[in-house]
Amino acid sequence: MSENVIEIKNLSFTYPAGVEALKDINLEIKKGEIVAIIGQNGSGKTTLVKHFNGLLQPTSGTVIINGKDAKQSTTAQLSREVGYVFQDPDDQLFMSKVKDEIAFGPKNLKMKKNEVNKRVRDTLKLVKLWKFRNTHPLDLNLDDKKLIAIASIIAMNPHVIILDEPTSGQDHRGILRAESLIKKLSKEHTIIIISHDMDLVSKIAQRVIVMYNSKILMTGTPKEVFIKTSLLAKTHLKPPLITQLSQKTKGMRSDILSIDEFIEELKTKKPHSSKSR
Amino acid sequence: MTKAILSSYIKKNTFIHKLNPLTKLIFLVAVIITVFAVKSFIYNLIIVLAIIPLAYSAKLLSKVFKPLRYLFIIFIVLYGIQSFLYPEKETILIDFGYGIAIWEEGVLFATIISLRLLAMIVHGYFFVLVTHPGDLVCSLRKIKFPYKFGYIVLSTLQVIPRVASQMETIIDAQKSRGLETKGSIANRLKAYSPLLGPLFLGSVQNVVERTIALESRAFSYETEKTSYRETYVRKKDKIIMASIVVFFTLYGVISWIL
Ligand SMILES: Nc1ncnc2c1ncn2[C@@H]1O[C@H](COP(=O)(O)OP(=O)(O)O)[C@@H](O)[C@H]1O
Ligand SMILES: [Mg+2]
Repeated sequence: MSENVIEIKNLSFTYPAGVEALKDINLEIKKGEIVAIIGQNGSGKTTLVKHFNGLLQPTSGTVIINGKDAKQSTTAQLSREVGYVFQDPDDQLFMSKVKDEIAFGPKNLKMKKNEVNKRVRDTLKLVKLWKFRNTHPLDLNLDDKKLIAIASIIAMNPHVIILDEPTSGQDHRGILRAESLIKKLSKEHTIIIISHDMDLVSKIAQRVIVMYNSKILMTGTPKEVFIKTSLLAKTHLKPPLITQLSQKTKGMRSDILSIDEFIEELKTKKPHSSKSR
Repeated sequence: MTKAILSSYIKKNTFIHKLNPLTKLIFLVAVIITVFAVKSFIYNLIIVLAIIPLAYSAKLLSKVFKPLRYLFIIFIVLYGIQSFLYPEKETILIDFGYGIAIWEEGVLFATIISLRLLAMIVHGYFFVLVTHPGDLVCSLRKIKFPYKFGYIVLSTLQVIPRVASQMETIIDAQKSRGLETKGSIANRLKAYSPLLGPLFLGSVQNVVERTIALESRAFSYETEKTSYRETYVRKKDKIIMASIVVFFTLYGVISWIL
């Protein structure tokens, strides 16, 4: 047995309307990895991850989940292993109370009633939204809706959790909340996160996959990827601001990802100036 | 976000696609009037089957029967109720005893109603497939229909594809959380029941948003409006319109005489 939870071989996908959204994708994701998928809008990120839980079936090529061809399972069966949090929570939430929304998945897993209730309570407390348990999900603000969408997947406890743009459209507080939740989850789960937030990506991802025009353009650690500025520019992506700053500062390393790292590097560059103060 | 689907119109370069929308509309109206005027089942069947050469020539044969997938349940209910309960029962087809039986009159009645429904659905859907909604509104305005009426037509045509794509999205969300939607009828019904709330709420919300969007672009401002699209009634349209009227009048008359 390999330790790959997801193995994609020569995957191509064309939507019935004729859009060729994925071209010859090859990819492996290891158990416990935190992977970020980046790329401009329309590059095929959502289409790719919808193959991981069987919402889409390849036009050609294979998708193997936990050693088994995804073709052989329904999305419902795959949902035990792979949880997909939709890009738009309005597309994902359909019950009339938050607690029923969270209970929907566990009930389908045929859990006993008190186990379901426990899951609902635990998950809502984890995301700190227990107080909204009787609210209509679509009455919540966007930040909370996004958390509820994530919570509805956490409640099923799938090993792989896919988050499709979990921080897009959120304010600073919302982003911080999502970030700390993802960090917590990454201790026990394989995480696949699609994001335009390069700061977030550089902070949490172990590996970055860059998509461009239905293909994988490159993959590597955040340091490896963000150093390739010209390739990134082609896809209209930019490294995190601090990385850009250090790339434009004379004598600085070009793979700096955080402010702390930047300051450390500054100290080694000008030891006399920090002494004189 | 899922792609916004604004209409079922499928662009192709065929004779039927190039006809004026009014010509196609007159055909549709003639079909609907005729299937209700005609009582004989064989004449209605011919009208239903006429869709095959039409759809073939518009290169849409594989698409035109798609709505029937969702409607088969209506036909089952229709036959179920009418074959047992049609009031003017005379001839028994199958007797189950205990006063329960399938009646010939009921089955015939259900068949006639089904054919009418079928004719309206496939021809109606075909019309939507081959007519650009913008062109339709434009040509209605040219024959002095009020533009608000045009908007009503347009938005009604958009309802079906929009609801269908919303339904698909919600079903995807449910499958992703472990709901089995394949297999037994019970499974399917269970999957569809939580759909109704969000679909209805979504539609109401849509109306509110649309109203704001329309009014902020001076939709009800009283003035002569110009059109972005342009349509013409050509000579072939006039000939075909006249033929449609003559043909269907004769068709109706013959079905009554024979
Ligand atoms: N349901 C659909 N039908 C047809 N084309 C689609 C559909 N969903 C997405 N696409 C197209 O597929 C391409 C990739 O889309 P998507 O995977 O959503 O990109 P991303 O998530 O990277 O923004 C785009 O060109 C998009 O327009
Ligand atoms: Mg996307």
